Amino acid sequence: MLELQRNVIFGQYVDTGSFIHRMDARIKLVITFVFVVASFLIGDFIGFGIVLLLLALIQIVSRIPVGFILRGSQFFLAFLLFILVFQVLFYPGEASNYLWRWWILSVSTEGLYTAGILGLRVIFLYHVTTMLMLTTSLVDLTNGLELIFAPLQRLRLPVNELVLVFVIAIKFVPIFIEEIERLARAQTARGVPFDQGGAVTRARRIGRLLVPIFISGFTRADTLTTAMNTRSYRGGRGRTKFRLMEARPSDWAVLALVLAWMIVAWLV
Amino acid sequence: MIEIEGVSFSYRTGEEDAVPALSELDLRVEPGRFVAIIGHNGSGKSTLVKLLTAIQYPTGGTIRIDGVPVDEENQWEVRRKVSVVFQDPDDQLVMNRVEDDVAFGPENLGLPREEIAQRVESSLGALGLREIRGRLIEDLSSGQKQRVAIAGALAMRPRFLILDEPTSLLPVPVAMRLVATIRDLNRRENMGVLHVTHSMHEASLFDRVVVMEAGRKILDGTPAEVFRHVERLRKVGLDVPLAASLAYRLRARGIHLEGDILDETDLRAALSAVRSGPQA
Ligand SMILES: Nc1ncnc2c1ncn2[C@@H]1O[C@H](COP(=O)(O)OP(=O)(O)OP(=O)(O)O)[C@@H](O)[C@H]1O
Ligand SMILES: [Mg+2]
Repeated sequence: MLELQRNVIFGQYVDTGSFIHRMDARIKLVITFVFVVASFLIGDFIGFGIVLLLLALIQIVSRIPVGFILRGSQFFLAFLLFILVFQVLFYPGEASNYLWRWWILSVSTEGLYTAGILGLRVIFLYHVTTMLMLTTSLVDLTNGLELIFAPLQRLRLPVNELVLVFVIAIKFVPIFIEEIERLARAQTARGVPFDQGGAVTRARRIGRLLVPIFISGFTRADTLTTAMNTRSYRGGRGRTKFRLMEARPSDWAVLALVLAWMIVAWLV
Repeated sequence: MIEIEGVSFSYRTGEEDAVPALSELDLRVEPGRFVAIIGHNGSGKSTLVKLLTAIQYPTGGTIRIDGVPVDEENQWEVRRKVSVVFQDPDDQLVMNRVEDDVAFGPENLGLPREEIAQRVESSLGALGLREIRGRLIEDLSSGQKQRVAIAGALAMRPRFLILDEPTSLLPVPVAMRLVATIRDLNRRENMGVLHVTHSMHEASLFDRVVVMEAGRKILDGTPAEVFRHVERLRKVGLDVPLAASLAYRLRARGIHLEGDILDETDLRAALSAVRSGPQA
């Protein structure tokens, strides 16, 4: 069976009550943003070495088991590996440093290096955004985003609505995954084996589920909109908040540390 | 007061395959009443719920809630007066944590934070959800989810609470407890309740039972009055509770039974009165 729910964790929230879970969502969002910027600035293995230590630290503090993340990322990692192999094979290496060559395919040290950096960059991005979602509940994420982007409201940007669309999109990832599983199970019951056959056959079998999944996705979205309307939701206008957001001193300290790290890395 | 006057509705109006779902329905429900709506599949119960909560609008006739006409213009005012709970809690829970979801409606009303906190607190308390307030909704049982959905509706402090088969996915004892809780709320808050159900046993616990068939109201009265029409109910695919149906058959054979018989206790009492002979 596919067991997608265990194998795709993007968009899930897992409450372990750790320090990171209790951090102010706005600060977590800012830090995530800093990391995203950092991932584009860092360009060598030493830089990413430090990053890996950082990711390990986040992982430990969050108390979310590494095995859980790895199992939940296998589809993503397989896809990444696939892309990177392409990146290496088609890298326009110079004649001097290729290790292996056949027709238009080649493996060069430069190609390996670039693909390695790209891989680390993507993993970094993936890890920090996944950790943000795993440790921040939907409400905190919405409220945090709304507060951060509140100034844009003055430019007549519908911030509340945009944030809500974004949050619902995230909320839908696990729902979609559940739906795929349900349909796949129904197909398996009718004798379509999803775990047999070559990669192409398997991909084609999964592809056949796409249309029903989109239809049920739209139905779900429609139901959710109706539910929100009957509960007096009118696009975030005049909405007040039940939850207070309070940044504790320790939250600010973490933010300061991250910024300090950025500046030091910048200077060195 | 809910006033439904000559209301008709069909899905896909104007098209060839239009589906008439309600025709010329009249119904009045005073504030604070505890009303069950029963009817066979497709009799128009859910359609009625959709019209009362401004999800759909009548194609004919008018609906007024506390004097406010239910139309596009007044939809938001209507939704402040009427809260709805659907059959499947997954269709209506929006947030992913219990107390956040209960707070969702009041937040939309733009109430001050203290007021929201107080409403969340009392709604959670009323449904016995205080202990699980911080839990993730996806981890709850369907009974718990349904309670969260009701707590969310209650936190809106509606004049009328409308429930569309909220108990059909629940085991019978859980459903019974839920109905008892709703009755309690109805008494305490003087909140009107319209409860759609398939279960005749559940319906017998209400002050008033409205029976729908093919988009019309065919019977309306106290459970005792309605359950007297055993043949009529059977014709539209509804079964009178066993005790009431037995009483009906005994009476049909000329055995005189005193009082309204809705359940086993009533029946026992009436039968022992018969056995001990007519009192002087
Ligand atoms: N979205 C829709 N589009 C078209 N027709 C519909 C739609 N919803 C309901 N109907 C039709 O309207 C009629 C009344 O349906 P409604 O859902 O109100 O019945 P109900 O009494 O709630 O039934 P149930 O006990 O099965 O919930 C039925 O004939 C049904 O097929
Ligand atoms: Mg229905």
